[in-house]
Amino acid sequence: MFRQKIDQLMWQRHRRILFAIALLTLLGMLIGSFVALHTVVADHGTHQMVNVGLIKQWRPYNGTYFSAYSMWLLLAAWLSGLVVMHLDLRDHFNQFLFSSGYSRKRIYWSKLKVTWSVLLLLNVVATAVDYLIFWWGTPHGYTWTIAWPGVLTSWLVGAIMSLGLFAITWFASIIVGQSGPLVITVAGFTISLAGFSGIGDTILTRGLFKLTGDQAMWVGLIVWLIAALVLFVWGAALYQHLSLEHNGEYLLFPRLRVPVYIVFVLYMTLIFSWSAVDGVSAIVAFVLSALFGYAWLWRPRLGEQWHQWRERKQG
Amino acid sequence: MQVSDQSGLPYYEQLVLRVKQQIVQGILRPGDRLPSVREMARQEQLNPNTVSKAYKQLEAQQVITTVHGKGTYVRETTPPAGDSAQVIASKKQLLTLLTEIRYLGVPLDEVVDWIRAAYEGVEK
Amino acid sequence: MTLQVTGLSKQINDRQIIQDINFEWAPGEIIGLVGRNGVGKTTLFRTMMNHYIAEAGQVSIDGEAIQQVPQRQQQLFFIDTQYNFLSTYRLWELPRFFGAVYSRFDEQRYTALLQQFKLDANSQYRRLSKGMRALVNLILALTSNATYIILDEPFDGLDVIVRENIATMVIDEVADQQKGFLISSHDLNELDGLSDRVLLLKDSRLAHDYNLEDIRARAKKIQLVLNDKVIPDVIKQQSQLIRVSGRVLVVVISDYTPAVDQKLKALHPVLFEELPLTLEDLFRANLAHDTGYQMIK
Repeated sequence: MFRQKIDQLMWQRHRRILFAIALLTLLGMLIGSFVALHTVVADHGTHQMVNVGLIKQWRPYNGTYFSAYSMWLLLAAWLSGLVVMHLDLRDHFNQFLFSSGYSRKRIYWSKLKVTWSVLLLLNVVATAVDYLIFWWGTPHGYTWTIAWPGVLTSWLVGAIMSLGLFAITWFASIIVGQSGPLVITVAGFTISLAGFSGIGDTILTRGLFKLTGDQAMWVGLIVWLIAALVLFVWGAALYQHLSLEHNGEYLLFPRLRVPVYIVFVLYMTLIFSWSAVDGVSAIVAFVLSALFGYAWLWRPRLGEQWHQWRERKQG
Repeated sequence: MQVSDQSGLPYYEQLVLRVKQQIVQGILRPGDRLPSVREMARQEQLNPNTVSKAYKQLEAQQVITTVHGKGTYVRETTPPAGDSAQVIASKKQLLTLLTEIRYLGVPLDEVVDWIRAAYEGVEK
Repeated sequence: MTLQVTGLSKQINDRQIIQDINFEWAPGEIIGLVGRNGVGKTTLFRTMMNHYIAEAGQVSIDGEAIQQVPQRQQQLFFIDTQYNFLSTYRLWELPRFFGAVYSRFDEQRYTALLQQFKLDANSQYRRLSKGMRALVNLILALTSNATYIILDEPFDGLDVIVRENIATMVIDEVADQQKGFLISSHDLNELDGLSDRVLLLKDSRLAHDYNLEDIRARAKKIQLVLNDKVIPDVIKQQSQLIRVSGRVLVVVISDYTPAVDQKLKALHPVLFEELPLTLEDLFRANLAHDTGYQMIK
C-alpha cells in the first residue's frame, strides 16, 4: 500500500485504529441514513429527500434528511488526529520511532501522510456508500436529487473543515501528555469554536467589513485552512524538540505553559463576555478563567494530592 | 566463574594457570584440542577478550599452538631451556618464597614434600 | 569502528541528571555501566537514544553524529524496559516493526530463537513473565543485527538459568568482534567476568573508566589476624577494611606493591591468607572513601 519503509511502518502501527475509526464512521453514517429514509415517510410536508433549489446553488448542502458531506467524516478526522498522535506517546511507540534512524521530520510527515491517505480514502468510500444508500433506498414516490454545485461545494467545505478539526486534535496531542485531560481540552476547545465562529461572523458581517453571509463563510474557511497549515508546520517544529521525559505531564513542553495560560485566559474571557452587555461578566469570566487556568496548568498534581488525601482519610 | 582457586589473580591468569595445571595433571595431553575462545568463554561465562588474552599468553609461552582454521592444540612439551627468561624469573620467585618459608620455620623435608606433590600433580 | 559519546548532558526539571559524559565504545567490548540506583544510568541511555533531547553533547558512530545522520541510529539498539510499545503486541508481530527499522533484521533467527527458548510466538508480550520478557528483549537486540547493543539491567530479578542464558548469548555475539554491548547494573556481581571494562556513574558524571583485569592484577584481598588489637597505619592508609570480626581483618589493597607486602609481613601476622577477589571488593576498595558506594547484598 505504501512504498517507503517509514510509511509502511506507520501503516503497520496505525492501521487497526484507523480501521476502527473508519468502521465507526461508516456505521454511524449507515444508521443516520437509514433513519432519515425511514422518518421522511412520516413527514407529509415534502416528497423531496433533497431540497432541489438549494442543492443547485454553490453552497454547502446540509438538509434535514441528507447532507452532501457527512458529519461523521468530521468526527473521523477529529478522532484520527487525536489517536494517531497521542497513542504513540501513550504506548511509548515514540521511543521506538525516535531511535529508529528516521529523522523526526520524516516521522512526522509520514504519519501525517499515512493518516490523510486513509482519511481521504474513507471520505471517498463513505460518501459513495452514503449516496448509494440514498439512491437505492429512497422510498417510492420520493425524490433524491443531487447536483454538482451543491455536492462539490459541500465536499470542498467539508474537507477543509475536516482538515482543520484534524489539525486541532493533532496539534493538541503533540503538546498535551495526559489522555483524559487531552480529550477534555480538545473537546472543550472544539465545542467553544462554535461560539467563536459566531463572534467571527459578527465581526465580518456587521462590524468593520460588512460582508455578505457567503463571503463571510469563505473568508472564515480560508482563515481556518491557513490556521490548520500553521498548526501542521508549528507541530512539526515542536515535534523536533519533543523530549519524552515529560511524558505523562499535562504539557509536554514546559516552556509553553505561560503562552498557553495567556491564550487560554484571553480566549475564555472573550467567549464568555462577548454577548454580555455589562463589564461585570467580562471581569467575572476573566477572574474565573485565570484561576481555573492556573489550577489546571500549574497544579498538575492537585488531583493526585487530592487522591492521596482521600486515601489517607479512608485508610 | 569457576576457574578460581587463585582468585586474587586476573581471570586471564587464572585461566593460564588452570590450563597448565591440567597439562601437569595429565588431563590435557600434547595434541589435545582446546575449546575455541568462544566455547571456552561460554563454558566459563567469561568475556571472550579475557579468554583470548589467556590463549595468547599460553601461545607466547609455547604451551599451546593455534593451527589456523583448525583450532588450538596443546604442544608437545619441549625440554625447558634452563636459561629462558621465564625459567629465571620463576626461579627468582621461588627463592624469595623459600626464604620466607625458611624464616617461618618449615622444615626442609616438608617443603620438599610439597614440591614433590605439586610436581606429581597430586595436589588438588 | 567506534561509537563516541561526547559531552552528553541532560537536565530534567532543572535537575542535572547526567553531565558531560564522554566515552568510546568499540565492537568486541562488553562495557559495564555501574552506579547506584537513580544515578542516571537509564537517563544516559535514553539521551543516547534520542528519547530525551540532550542539552549538550552528542553521540556519533564512525565519526558521524546521530543528530546529523539519523540513519546511523540503526546501528545502536536499546529497548527501554520501562517504556516500550511491545506490551500490546504478540511476539510474531514484532518483526514487522523491527524489520522496518533495522535493515539487517534477521526474522528467521528471531523465530528460531523463540522456539529455542520455548517462547510461544502467539503470546502477548505483556502476558510474559519478567524473565521471558528479558529474553525477548535480548532476542530482538541480537536479531536486529545492530552493532552496538545497550542492555539496561538485563539480569535484574532473573533466576540463574535465564541469567546464564543471557550471559551466554552476549558472550557468543561478542566473540566475533562484530558487536559491542553496554550493560548497566546496580549489582556488580552480575558483571563479574563478563565485562572487561566498567564505567562508573557517580553524581551525574562518569567518575571512572576501569579496565578490570588491570585492577585485578594490582589488587589483593587478604584475611589477616594480628597480634595487636590496634589496626596498624599501613592498613589504614593503603587498604580498605572490608570486615573486622574480633582480631580477624579482611582488607582489600587496590595497589599491592612489594613495599606494601613487606610492610604487612613486618607486622608478623598470625594468619595471612589471600581470599578470592570479587568485582564488588574492587569497587568497595576503590570508591568507598569518596563515594559512599553501597553494595547490594
